[in-house]
Amino acid sequence: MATLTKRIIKTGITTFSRQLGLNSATIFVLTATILLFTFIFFVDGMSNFLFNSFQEKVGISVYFKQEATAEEISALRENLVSKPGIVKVTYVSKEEALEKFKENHQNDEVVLKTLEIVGDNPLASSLKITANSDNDYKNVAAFLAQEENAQIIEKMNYQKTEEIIKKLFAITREVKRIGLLLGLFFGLVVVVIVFSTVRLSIHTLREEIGVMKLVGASNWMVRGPFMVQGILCGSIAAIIALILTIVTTYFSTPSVVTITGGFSLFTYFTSNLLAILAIQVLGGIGMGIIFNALAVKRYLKV
Amino acid sequence: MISLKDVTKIYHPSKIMALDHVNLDVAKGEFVVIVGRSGAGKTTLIKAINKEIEPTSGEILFEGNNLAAINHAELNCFRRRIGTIFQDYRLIHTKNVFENVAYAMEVVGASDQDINRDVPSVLNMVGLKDKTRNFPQELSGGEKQRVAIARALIHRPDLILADEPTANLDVYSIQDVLESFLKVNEMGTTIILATHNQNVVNYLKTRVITLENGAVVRDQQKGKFIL
Ligand SMILES: Nc1ncnc2c1ncn2[C@@H]1O[C@H](COP(=O)(O)OP(=O)(O)O)[C@@H](O)[C@H]1O
Ligand SMILES: [Mg+2]
Repeated sequence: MATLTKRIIKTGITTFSRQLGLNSATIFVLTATILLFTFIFFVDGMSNFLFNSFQEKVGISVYFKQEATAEEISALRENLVSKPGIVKVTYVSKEEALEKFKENHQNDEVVLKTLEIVGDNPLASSLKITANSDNDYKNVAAFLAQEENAQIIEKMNYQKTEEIIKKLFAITREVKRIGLLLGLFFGLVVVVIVFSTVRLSIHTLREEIGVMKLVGASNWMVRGPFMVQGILCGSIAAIIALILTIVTTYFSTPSVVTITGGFSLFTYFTSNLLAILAIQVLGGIGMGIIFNALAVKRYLKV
Repeated sequence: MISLKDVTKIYHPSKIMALDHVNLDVAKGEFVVIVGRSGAGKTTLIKAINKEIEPTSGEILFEGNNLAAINHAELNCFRRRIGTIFQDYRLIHTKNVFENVAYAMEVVGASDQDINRDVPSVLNMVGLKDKTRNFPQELSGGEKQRVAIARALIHRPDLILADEPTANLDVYSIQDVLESFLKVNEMGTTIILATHNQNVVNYLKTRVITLENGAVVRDQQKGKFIL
C-alpha cells in the first residue's frame, strides 16, 4: 500500500512535469474560476457594506414633546429594542441635540445669539430607529402610532421617508437577488468549462489509460496519478490566484474606499483571509482532484 | 489453460465476421502459432483472449473460468498473469522506455529493488540498454516492438499473447526474440503467437493453427506454413 501510494505520487509528479502544456490549460481555467469565486466573495462583502451603511442612513426619527420624561422615552426604547426586525435604536437627549446644533452652527452668530435669547433648550429629545426592512419600518410606525405612544410624540418623520425607504429596500433586494443569480450562473458556467478542459486533456490520454488497464493496472493505479496532477494544477492555480488577489486588492483599495465611502478591499481581504484561502485552495485542489477522477472514470472500463 | 467454445465475433456496424465459430484448446505449457492472411482474425482472437473485446457469442474459459463472468478485480488479476505484445505496441507515451517496462512490474506489485534489477537486464537482452531514458516517440518501429516484448516478458507471466511480435524486426533480432520465447516456453510459460511470417512458423516447429476468414481451417502439431 505504501509502495503503491509512493508510486502514484511519483508518477503523478513526473507525468505532470512532462505534460506542462496540457496541464497549463487546466491551470489557466482553474485560476480563472478561483478568481471568479473570490471576486463574488468580495462583491458580496462590498454589497453588505453598502447595504449596512445605507441602512444606517435611512430610519425613522421620533421627536418627543417637551413634557415627555426620560423614563418614558427609555421605556419606549426598551420596548422597541425587544421587537423583531429592529437593528438599532439610538437615543439622542435634548441636551445632546443642542450640543450638536451648536456645533453645526458654531460660525453662525445670529443663530447662537437667538439661542441665548430664548434661554431654554428649544430642541426635542429623539430616538433614531433602524430596522431591517420596509415591513419592519411599517410595524414600528404602527406601534408608535398607538395611543399611549402617540401621546408623548411630537412628530415622526416616517410619512416623509416611507416612500424612499420602500424604494431603496426594493432596489437593494433586487440587486442582491440578481447578483446571486448571476454569480450562480457564472459559477456554473466556469465549472462546466473547467470540467470540459480537464476532460479534454484526459481524452487525449485515453489510449494510455486503455493500455494501463490492459496490462492489469488497478483503477487506483490509473486514477491516482491523474488525481495527483489535479492536486498540483489546483495548488498552482490557487497560488497564482492568491498572488493576483493580493496585488489587485492592494492597488485598488484606495479608489474603492473613495467610491464606496469606506469599504477597504485590503482590510476585508485580511480579515477574511481564512475564508478566501479556503475558497482558493480547497476550490482549486477540490476541483482538480474531483474533475480528474471523474474524467478518467469513463476510460477505465477496458 | 484456455478454451474457446464456438467463439464468434462480429464487428459493428460493418457486420464483418472476424471470428467464425472458433473452437480451440490450449494446454498449459503449449506454444501455439496462429497463422493466416492479413484480416483473417488473428488480432481479434488475441484481443478476445485478453478480454479487450467481448465475443459476440460463444465463451472463453481461462483455467475453467468463463471470462465473461469474472468481476473487475478478477480481470485485473487475470491480466497480470498475461504478457501481451500488441501488434501496435501500445506503449505509454508519457513514460520512457525504462518506465514502460517497469510498469508491468509495478502492476504486479514488484519491489523497487526487483524492478531496478530486472528491467535493465531485460532491456539489455532485447538490445535497448542505450535507450532506457528515451520516450516511445523517439524510437523506431523495431525498437518500440522490442520495448513491447520486454514489457510482456518482464513479470514472468503464465501466458504470453504475442501479436505479430516480429513484424518490424530484422532477421537477426527475429531469431533472438524467437529464442527467448522458446526459452520461456521451456520454463513453463504458455505462448500464443500470431504471425503471417513463414520463416517464423518454420523456425518454431510447434503447433500451428490456421485461420481463414475468421474460421479455424487447420490445426497441426509441428505444422508447416500453408496459406
Ligand atoms: N475494430 C474493428 N471494427 C471493425 N472491423 C474490424 C475491427 N478490427 C478488425 N476488423 C475487421 O475484422 C477482420 C479481422 O481483423 P484482424 O483480427 O485484425 O485480422 P488480422 O490480425 O488477422 O490481420 C478484418 O476484416 C478487419 O477489417
Ligand atoms: Mg493483426
